[in-house]
Amino acid sequence: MTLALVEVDESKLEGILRDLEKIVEMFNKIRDLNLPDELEPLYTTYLGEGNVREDVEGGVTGSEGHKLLSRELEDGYLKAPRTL
Amino acid sequence: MSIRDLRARVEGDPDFLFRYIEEVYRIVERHEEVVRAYITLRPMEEVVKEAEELLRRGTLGPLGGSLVAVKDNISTKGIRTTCGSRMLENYVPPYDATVVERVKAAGGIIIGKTNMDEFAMGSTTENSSFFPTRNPWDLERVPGGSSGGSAAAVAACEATVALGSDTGGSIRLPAAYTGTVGLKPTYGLVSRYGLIAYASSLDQIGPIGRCVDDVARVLSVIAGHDARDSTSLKVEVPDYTQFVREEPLRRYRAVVIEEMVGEGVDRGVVKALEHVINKLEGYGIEVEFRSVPVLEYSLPAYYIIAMAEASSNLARYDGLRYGIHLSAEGLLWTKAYAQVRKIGFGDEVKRRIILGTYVLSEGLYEGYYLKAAKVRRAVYDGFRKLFSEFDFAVSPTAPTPPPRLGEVITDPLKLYSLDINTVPVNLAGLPAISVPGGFVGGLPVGIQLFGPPLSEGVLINVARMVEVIVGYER
Repeated sequence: MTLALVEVDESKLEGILRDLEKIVEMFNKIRDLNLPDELEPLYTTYLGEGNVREDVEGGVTGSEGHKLLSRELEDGYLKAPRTL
Repeated sequence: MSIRDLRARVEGDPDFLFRYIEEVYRIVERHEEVVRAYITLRPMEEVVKEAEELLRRGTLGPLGGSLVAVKDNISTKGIRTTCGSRMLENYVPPYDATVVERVKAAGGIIIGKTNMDEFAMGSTTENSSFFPTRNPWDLERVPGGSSGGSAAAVAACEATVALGSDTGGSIRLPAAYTGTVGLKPTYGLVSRYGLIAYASSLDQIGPIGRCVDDVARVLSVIAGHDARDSTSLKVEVPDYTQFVREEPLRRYRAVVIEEMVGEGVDRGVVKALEHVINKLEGYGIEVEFRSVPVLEYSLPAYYIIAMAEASSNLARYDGLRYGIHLSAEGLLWTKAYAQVRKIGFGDEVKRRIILGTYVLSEGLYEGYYLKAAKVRRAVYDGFRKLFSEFDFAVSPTAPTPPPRLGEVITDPLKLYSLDINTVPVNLAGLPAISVPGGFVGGLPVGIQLFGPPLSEGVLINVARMVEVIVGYER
């Protein structure tokens, strides 16, 4: 939970932990599976060659984009919590 | 009324469209208090205004004034799009999803945004942050999920057709539980631009309708390349209504996968499937049974992959760019971020983010995520081999008729097991359709047909035959 940055109500904690244990037990079926080393993992089933647009600056950038996204701005910049 | 009939009536008498809209709103008024399919229903005056504009255009388009209900994770310009979550309770997108643009251009009118499990995480629509939707066939039962609002709206005649999204069965399961038809397209056939992401390598948008013909019509409109989706396929899109035939378009070979009709599948559901298979054989379709043993692992593999992708996709709800806005004065970034997620997300979403982070963490990644991706490869290869011999597979969509409200929601494993027959299809990126297969104890059950990539035409053809076999068409 710490790593996921998710907080849970104290009253619900016990139930959620019980559920998580059950689900991890189901996942362990995969962990305990013997698979051939040569079996390649599959991350996408997309059959095409991909459509990647040219990396050019769009119409809405910088502070304009920030204004669209946030209600709290300071000097045209997003006002964010401190990190240290 | 089907899209075809509506279009024909409006063509002969344009004023019929206004009478139709009034009638649908009357039905909504009568049923919505108990069914609760919509999170946001547009005022009738707005819909009438768009109908007037459509008639002024001079061309009705293939959707001919159909009232289209849209799942609330598909962006609609100027219409609130909540994703079934408190996190996006007041979010109004500044743009339309590609599918919405295409529906509007084809003469469809958006009637409202439908209820869903929060961020599409669920199989009953009970995980909505707002309220559960009820199954119009039995108000004590769930309509399936996560596109339960879309399916319930169509089943209760509160819309002509609907759009849903399917990550692990979220179109097909609600279609099966509500006696409607739902189609999950081949991965990449329909643009995901404007779809709020859950698990991007699995998500697809598709139609839900009261008959196969309606679903074919909507698919013809929404399918096709879109440069704004990097995984959009560049393929020719046929008019799928040409496949809506009551006889096989060629000599088909079908397969029943033993793992999909085995333990845990309700006896009545199996009998409904057997009836359909016997009748399909009467059309000259050869049906054989085969085993794909790796499917035993598809449910845990699916949930590992989906949760891992969700934990990354949902990181953007930080209260700054997206999500509820809290005063972060004096708080560290990590604390402010965790607070936003604590208040904005429901329990199931939190569970999936926690587990998704867990399976991707150092030391565990190889044992869970990497192995799940290898199982995905084995499922993909298993189906590829199968479909080198067969044209399509047939199975029950869901292992049981719709559960009662509250029956499975308290046990995540019971909840996840509803998806047992639908998730393998998403892992392999295949197209699938759920079509009504009869009734068990007065409740609808669905038959799932799935095939190799881009076999939507075959599935639509066979689904139409199933419609005729079962004799249930609305």
